[in-house]
Amino acid sequence: MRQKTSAEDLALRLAEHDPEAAGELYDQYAPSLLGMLLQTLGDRDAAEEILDDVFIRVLGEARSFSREGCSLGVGLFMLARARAVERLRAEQSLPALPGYYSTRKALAWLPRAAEVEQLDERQDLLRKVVNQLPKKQRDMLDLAVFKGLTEEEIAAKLGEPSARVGAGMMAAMRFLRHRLAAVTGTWTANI
Amino acid sequence: MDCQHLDEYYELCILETLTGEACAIVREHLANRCPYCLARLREAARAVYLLCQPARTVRPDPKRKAQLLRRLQRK
Repeated sequence: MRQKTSAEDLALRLAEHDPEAAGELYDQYAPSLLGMLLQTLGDRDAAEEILDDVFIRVLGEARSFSREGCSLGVGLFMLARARAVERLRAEQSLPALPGYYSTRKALAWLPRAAEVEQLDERQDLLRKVVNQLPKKQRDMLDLAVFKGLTEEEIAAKLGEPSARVGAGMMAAMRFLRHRLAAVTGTWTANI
Repeated sequence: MDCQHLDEYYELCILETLTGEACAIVREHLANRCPYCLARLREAARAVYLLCQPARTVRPDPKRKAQLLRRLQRK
């Protein structure tokens, strides 16, 4: 369970080069980031190398994150996933993806720190939401999220028509979007 | 700009699962700072963040943390 630290305060302290703040951010996010990187790459050395690089890169942009009010946590996850997928696809001789995520451009659309703090507080409930998805849809999303596969590559791997994979993933995202609004919004849902 | 027809695509564009026309349009709208696409992408990023949470967390070697913090202080 992550320690309760105000994400906005932490970003501000990082922007002001508070030496304690980097360690706090690391303690807060490194275990889940390393878990995600290992789930993607299956290689601890490679995962730790990316983990270090991602912290250095995102902390270098801490002032911009603080000014824009963006979540450092989401920035760390987005960049770590992008790096891991890039590496995995290269190892598997899959074509490189165009690269949707770049820290600077993403500052225009990364969620606010306070919104993500709310998500972090409700991680257990949100995990239940993901587990409510049909297994086939979860498998598709896992291949997309943790293996960085495209719709066509997932279809080939699962032996399904591409259109069915696309429809399945869109249905899954529709469900998650709806439930996320319920969990983080003001109305309650029977989850 | 009316971009509601893109509503189904934002998460899958962030993940780069879809590589076709819809994501090219979203990319173009972002370059033009389309307020609708920026707002939807912000919501989509929350869902992607949720999906990126690993099945299990893994504690890094404390020595690596110390090394990293030293590197950061030198910067």
